[in-house]
Amino acid sequence: MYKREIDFMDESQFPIKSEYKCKKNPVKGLSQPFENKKLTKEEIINAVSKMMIDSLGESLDV
Amino acid sequence: MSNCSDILLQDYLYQQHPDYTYIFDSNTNDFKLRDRNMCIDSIFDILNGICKKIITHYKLGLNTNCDAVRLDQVLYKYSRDVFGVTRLNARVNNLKSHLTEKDRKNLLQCFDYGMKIDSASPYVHRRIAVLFYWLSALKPFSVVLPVNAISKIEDKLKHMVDFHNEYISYIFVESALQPLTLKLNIHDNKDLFYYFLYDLHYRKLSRSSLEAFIYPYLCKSN
Repeated sequence: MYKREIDFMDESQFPIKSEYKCKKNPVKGLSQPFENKKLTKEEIINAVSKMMIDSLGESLDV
Repeated sequence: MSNCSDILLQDYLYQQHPDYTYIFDSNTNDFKLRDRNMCIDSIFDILNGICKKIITHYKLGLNTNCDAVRLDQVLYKYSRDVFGVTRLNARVNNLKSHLTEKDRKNLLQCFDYGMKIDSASPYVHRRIAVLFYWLSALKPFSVVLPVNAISKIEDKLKHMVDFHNEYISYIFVESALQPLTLKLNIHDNKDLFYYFLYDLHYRKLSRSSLEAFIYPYLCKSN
């Protein structure tokens, strides 16, 4: 009974690259392209700890 | 889960091939279960390593703890939210010899089931938002301050101590993003970072509001 509005529309009336066509036939995938590197635990630990220490600063003096 | 980024990209509960398709057990005709203890141990190693480096660098006397049961629940609920549709797709496709194409299509109308995330492949920032949501809801991380903690150190690292769970959660997410050559840069702005941790700690944030907030702060790491 409560179908999506998009399903009642006539798909043939819309051009191929229209927003309607994109929503009706979504392409599955992650929006941001990224690599998936194999990093060791040590590399991850060093990278993240360096990042957090750099943001805090070298010294704790106020 | 040999790689930390697998926490974001792979199902915590069930085994998957490297191409993220599920592995079925021929005896039960359902997914094969993963060794969750190994995943938790791997996460512990990384977080302990990072905390040790930070604590040693600033010569702090903090003792950090993690409740393994709560962390297990965080990852269980994260996987249920993020991989719910993928699991449904895999189970229905496994039965395709017993279903007509019309039945299969009807079953896969995921918008009809009220799932929190009705996508088979949610965006990275959406996954991070769900992970932050469950980490702040279940709070698996804690810290024990020594009795004679110096107040000067507490002022500078107020957010690290007051919102320790959220701080370690942020480190956890950064660790998971490293192999994807991505990072969050909320921590570059001290005030913004403090208020982000404050809100995660005290407020009942929703997954969608976290998703909207996090998106502009996700960037490529060097």
